[in-house]
Amino acid sequence: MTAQLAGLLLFLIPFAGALLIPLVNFFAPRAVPWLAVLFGLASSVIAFFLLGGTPAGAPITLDILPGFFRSGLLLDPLSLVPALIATWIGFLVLIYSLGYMKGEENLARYYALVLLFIGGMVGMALADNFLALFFFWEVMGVCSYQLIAFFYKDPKAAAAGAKAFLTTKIGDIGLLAAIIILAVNSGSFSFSVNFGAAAGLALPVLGLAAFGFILGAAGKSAQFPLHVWLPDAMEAPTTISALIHAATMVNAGVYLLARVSPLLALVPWSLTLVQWIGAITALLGALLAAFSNDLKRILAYSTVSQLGYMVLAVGMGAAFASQFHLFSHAIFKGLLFLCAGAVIHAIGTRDIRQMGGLYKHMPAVAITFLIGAMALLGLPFLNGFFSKDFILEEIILGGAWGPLALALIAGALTAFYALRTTFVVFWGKPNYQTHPHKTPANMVVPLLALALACFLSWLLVGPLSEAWIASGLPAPALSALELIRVTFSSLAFLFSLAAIVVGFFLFLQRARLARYFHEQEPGWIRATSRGLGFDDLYTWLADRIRDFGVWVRMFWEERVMEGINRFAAWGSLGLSRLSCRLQTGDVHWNLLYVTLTLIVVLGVALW
Amino acid sequence: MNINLLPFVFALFGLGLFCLLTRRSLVKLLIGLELLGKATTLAIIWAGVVQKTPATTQSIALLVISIEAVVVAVYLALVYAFHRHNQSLDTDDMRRLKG
Repeated sequence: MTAQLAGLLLFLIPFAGALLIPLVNFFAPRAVPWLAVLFGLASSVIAFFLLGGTPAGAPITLDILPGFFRSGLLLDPLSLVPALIATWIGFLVLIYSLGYMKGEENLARYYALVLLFIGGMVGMALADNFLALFFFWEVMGVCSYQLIAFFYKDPKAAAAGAKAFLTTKIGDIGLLAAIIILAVNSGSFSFSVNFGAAAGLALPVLGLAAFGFILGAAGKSAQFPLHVWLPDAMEAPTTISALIHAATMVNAGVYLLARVSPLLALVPWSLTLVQWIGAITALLGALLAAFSNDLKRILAYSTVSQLGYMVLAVGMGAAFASQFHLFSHAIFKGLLFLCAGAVIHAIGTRDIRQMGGLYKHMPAVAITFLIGAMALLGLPFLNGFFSKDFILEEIILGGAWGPLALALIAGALTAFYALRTTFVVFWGKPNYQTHPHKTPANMVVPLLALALACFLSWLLVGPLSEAWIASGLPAPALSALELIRVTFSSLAFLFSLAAIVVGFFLFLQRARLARYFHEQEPGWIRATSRGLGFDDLYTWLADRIRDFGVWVRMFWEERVMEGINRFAAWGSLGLSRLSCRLQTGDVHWNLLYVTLTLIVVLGVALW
Repeated sequence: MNINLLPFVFALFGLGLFCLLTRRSLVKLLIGLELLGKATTLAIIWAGVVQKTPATTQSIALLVISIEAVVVAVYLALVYAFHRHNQSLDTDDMRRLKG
């Protein structure tokens, strides 16, 4: 099988599955989950063909609209990383769903949407032009919205879905505007043509396009200031949080930024903007995660924070580092979410204050969660350590000291909340009321696979960087050994170690901290429980926009349209009043009219 | 016959119209109406004389006269009904169609 055909099948198979599942659901609803797993298995097996065969020769191109639009597959390492992550983690999540979603209603909808999402993510990553990218980008958006609101009977879930959809839509408008600007300039949607033609654009116009891309990426990847949808998206089933809101879709924005980085490099201020967005997001996410008590919200804010690191890396012009961290993060955050799912499945609450001591009941989950948390805070020899240090190193090399300071504070907070969450949930004093359920085997297997990947995935840095260089993307030539040498001898290692130590110290002092915050209760602490007021601000803004809409509607309906009505009524009334004068009711007047009319008619006839 | 009857027809018609527009009694209106009718009949006959087709126009005139008789009958019946209802023959009493 050629790599091109494999690439095509990689997103056509999930789409076929998404089409087939509703049909199968009619006569064999019980087969639906297994069928979905089968489709996931098929595409994840096919994904191996993409790894082996480096794409050579003519890629597949299809005439979607002959003479106007043709779409093809772009198979370079930058696009393969998100595609393979979506396929493989998607497959693991499908297996996990067998246990997690058992007994829920509307399973056909669930599995069809998950497959549709996987296909959309792969299609987005492999698209070689902006139009196809935007199409699949929106497919993902719709699936995300539908799956967040999967438990639609819960008004919170329905509202969260709508919130995610609307917030990301702000970014999508920016993306679409950027695509249109580029397409009008070059007359083509293709990446390569546009990157070539972009240099001919005036700087303000190009800056506008760059800003559009940054906005689109910020929406999809939950970056400051559009990050507000991701914590609410935790109303989704935990499997969805793991797949879409930790491992795959939220990476789409980072992928987009990495993809258009040649374009961003042409606009001087855009990379600085991306750096600061990333750094602020990293710090904000870590801060909110440190003060949250909802297990899934902690992980969501943590995802926001880690995505900030990736965006920061893209802003440093280090697309490779960002993709490397994306790869690590997809694994350890997917793992953490699936562990959280197992815990929530067992206890039935998401509040970590009602957990504790769960190690006794689910040791496998506890150990794998610990591994994931350690990878998150960057303990040496786990995948998160190497990729995060890589990013810090790039920041130091680039000399962006402001963002570096924010990233390091975020690193300390990351260490703090990772330790706190693990300890409070799995060790500590038991606080739960119910007897925990056993974790089914099909939920444990993906956990073990991902935990293993946390130890091993960084070894892939060698083949990954080779493939990047081979396809002409900027990347340092690194083998795994080289990576170890570079990482441990760098300044970034010291910084990140210091951050971890500070975080550990904070963790040890957490009782004192808690007492201090409880007694003093500074204003900003109270604000963190409300997401630092971003939700309030946006609600206020949305209210003003709605008020404006109401006013416009009022003006149009009540003043303009009603005015026309009133004028018509007043005019016809006036006319009828006038004509009433003619109707005296007097026979003689009537006779006069008759006579006059006859005279007129006669005159006309004779004339 | 060398007399021109047309001025006479117009005078008769004008008289009838004047009667219709100025008199208030329903019976006087009937008289005005009859004057109009007679003027018309005369005009038809005179037209026959001028066109040299006296037979056709005279038969039409006969038809008009007989129709007029019917009109008068109906008119009188209406006037009678109005009088029975209102004890009056004055047109000022029939203004119910005023807008």
